[in-house]
Amino acid sequence: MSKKSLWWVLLTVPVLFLGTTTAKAVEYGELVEDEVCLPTAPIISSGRSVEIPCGPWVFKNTEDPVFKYMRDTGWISHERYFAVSDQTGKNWIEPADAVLNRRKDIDWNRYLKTGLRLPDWLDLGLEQRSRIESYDHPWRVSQVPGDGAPDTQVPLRSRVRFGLGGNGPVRFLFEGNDSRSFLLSGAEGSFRDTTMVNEFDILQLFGALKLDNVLGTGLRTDFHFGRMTMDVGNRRMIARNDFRNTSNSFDGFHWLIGREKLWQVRAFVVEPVIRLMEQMDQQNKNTLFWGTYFEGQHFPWFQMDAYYLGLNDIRVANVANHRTYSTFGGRLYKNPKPGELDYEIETTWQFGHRGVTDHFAYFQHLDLGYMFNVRWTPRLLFHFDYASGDRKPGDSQDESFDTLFGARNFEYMPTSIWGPFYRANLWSPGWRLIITPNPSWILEVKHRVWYLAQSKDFFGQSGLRDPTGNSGSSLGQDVQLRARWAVNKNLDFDAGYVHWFKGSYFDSPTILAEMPTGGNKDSDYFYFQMRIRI
Amino acid sequence: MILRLLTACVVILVTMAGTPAFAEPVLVAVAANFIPPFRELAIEFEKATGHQLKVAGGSSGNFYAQIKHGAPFDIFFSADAERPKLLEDEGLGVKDTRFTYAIGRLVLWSPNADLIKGVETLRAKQYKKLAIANPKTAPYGVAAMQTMQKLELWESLQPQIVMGENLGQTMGFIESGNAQLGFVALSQVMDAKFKDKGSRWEVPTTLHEPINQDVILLTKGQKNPGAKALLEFVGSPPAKAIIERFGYELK
Repeated sequence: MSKKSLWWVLLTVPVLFLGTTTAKAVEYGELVEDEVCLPTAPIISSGRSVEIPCGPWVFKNTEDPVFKYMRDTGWISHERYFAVSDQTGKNWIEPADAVLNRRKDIDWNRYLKTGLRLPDWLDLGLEQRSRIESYDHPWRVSQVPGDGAPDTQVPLRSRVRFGLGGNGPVRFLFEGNDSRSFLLSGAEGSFRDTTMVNEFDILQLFGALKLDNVLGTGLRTDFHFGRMTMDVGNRRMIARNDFRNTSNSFDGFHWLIGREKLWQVRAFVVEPVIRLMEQMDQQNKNTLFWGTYFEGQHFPWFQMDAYYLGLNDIRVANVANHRTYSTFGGRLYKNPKPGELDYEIETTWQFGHRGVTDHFAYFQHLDLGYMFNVRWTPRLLFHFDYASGDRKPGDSQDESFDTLFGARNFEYMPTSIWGPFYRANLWSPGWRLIITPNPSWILEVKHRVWYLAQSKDFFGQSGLRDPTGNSGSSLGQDVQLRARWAVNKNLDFDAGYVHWFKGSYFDSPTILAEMPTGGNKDSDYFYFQMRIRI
Repeated sequence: MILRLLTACVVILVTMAGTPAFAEPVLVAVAANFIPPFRELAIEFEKATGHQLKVAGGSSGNFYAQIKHGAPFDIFFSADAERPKLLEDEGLGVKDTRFTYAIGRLVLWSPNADLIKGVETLRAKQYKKLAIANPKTAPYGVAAMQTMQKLELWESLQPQIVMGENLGQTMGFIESGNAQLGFVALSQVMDAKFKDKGSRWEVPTTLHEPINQDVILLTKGQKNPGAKALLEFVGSPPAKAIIERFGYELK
């Protein structure tokens, strides 16, 4: 055989290989016109402005690329591919904590589980969040000596979920959590406590019983027993913290009954878990938290929550810090919709004792919003909050509101190493603009003005206080920018910036003496984070 | 020289053998209720012919509007017989390619395993709400209405009837307990999620007009060999077996 002939034969091999490869797998998606034309005169149909598609037509694949890759490479069968792809919406295989926590925190494509070919009755999920954040001019008493230097940290949060039981009536869930933070500017002056660090611990560990159709009534009921996290109502009093690097969890019993999307009642008796930074978290029998919470969604314009929460926290040696409260509250709201007004009113009242003094405090919240029925559906929202403060420190009455186990990032500002403002001794008006260029992107700008409700009481949990009240109550104002991009349920990015124009309160001699040097100067905060879930 | 010629022939033959992989894909519009069986059909079709499919699932009404607006679908599997006929009359579908690929079956279903004993359950009215799809928009709603009219229950059941905009919403009413039972498609109840759950009464086809689901080759697909092959494949015995297994009847 000549050399030329040999080359011909060799060239034939790849062509032969290419020619006999199997056809590309079936693709699923939608046919859409790639561009949208806005009519010269607005056309309104069913209350919504009409956009006219104007081609060209393109086929957009709507399949999850990772599942599709597994199928196309033969790693999973077609049948399994369809089964896992269908596990959305009503077909979601809900984990055992579905009625305890927000769905967006626990629902993602289980790539790892699918890749390992695990059965539906077994759940396995991993989550890792990395963030870099920094702020300057610390103001907290605990941060002396801060000297105005920036506090820059890299908080890392890793979680693993392991569940048994699928959609069945008896289920089990373990969720491990590891939160740690690397200091980039040295330990001195850095903000570091159990809200940032909780190494290698158990976040959830419980057994659950679910009954879908109690005695043929169509009602669903769930019982949970063990360690759990909870998101209740709008999360102002009880939350599974998300932005914060660590989360509250509770040991005890939780019961829920209701009709999906119509009403539900929950009741619980738990011991809040005492987080420890480097040791295993602890239970403490001297802390008990209990309550009942009703949610009704019968009328879209008039959705209603009503709740009672009890707390008996006598675990610390200092009697002055004992908390024995009853908290009563109610919430009326309407969810935002394009072209409609929306609102939220929450009122909360606290009675009981703080130490040996009587405790009477309250919190009032108002949101008024409007979502414009145009592209990107901008929503303009006005906020107002009032959380009572102690009028006369040292008297027989304590009036400083306690937000219990609530979250703050969703309406105040990022928490983590930042978050100066609490629902305690505060009043604050403000506005926020939220736009959604597409379902994957959310952009926000917010502006709020902050005042102490009572000038003689503490400022949040900063440790700052002027018992004379001469420092006034002006805490300043802040402007916040935030951008979120969810590539899909498994990968998202979040970035934000806040500038806090500090008020005259921080320039008073009393407060200046308590703060780190430079604490009265305006503070800038920024963060960038990535979360991946498999 | 002979070796070169032989090699060239092999190359040409092999390349030809692989042509389906590079042929124009078939763009298929499939009514949402038929997506589960179509997935299996697509796999078998691809194995048998090598043609590539691009599948869009959705409501027949939307597809009809899209096709009229110039959407370049090759073939349309509708949830009814009306829209394919309209497309044919409007010159957007190829004449004499339209046929009934499946006949939907209506079923009275409840998640409560003890509730439905048969037609007597419907007559006894021992339930608060009965869900049906809106007869104005859904063929299965029309069939439910005809069934109750034939049983002389349509008027008396009016206070208890709740209407979903489509079959999915109707099933949602029943699933959530807002209605204790309802008329849905047998193919929905055959889904893995509901199979062997609850109680049901399969409505005899004598009680309502047949729920014919028609397919039609569209003018854009006339020159696509894959589209014609798919149309033929749907009428083949393996395809019919899959369709029947998902709770549909055949003509």
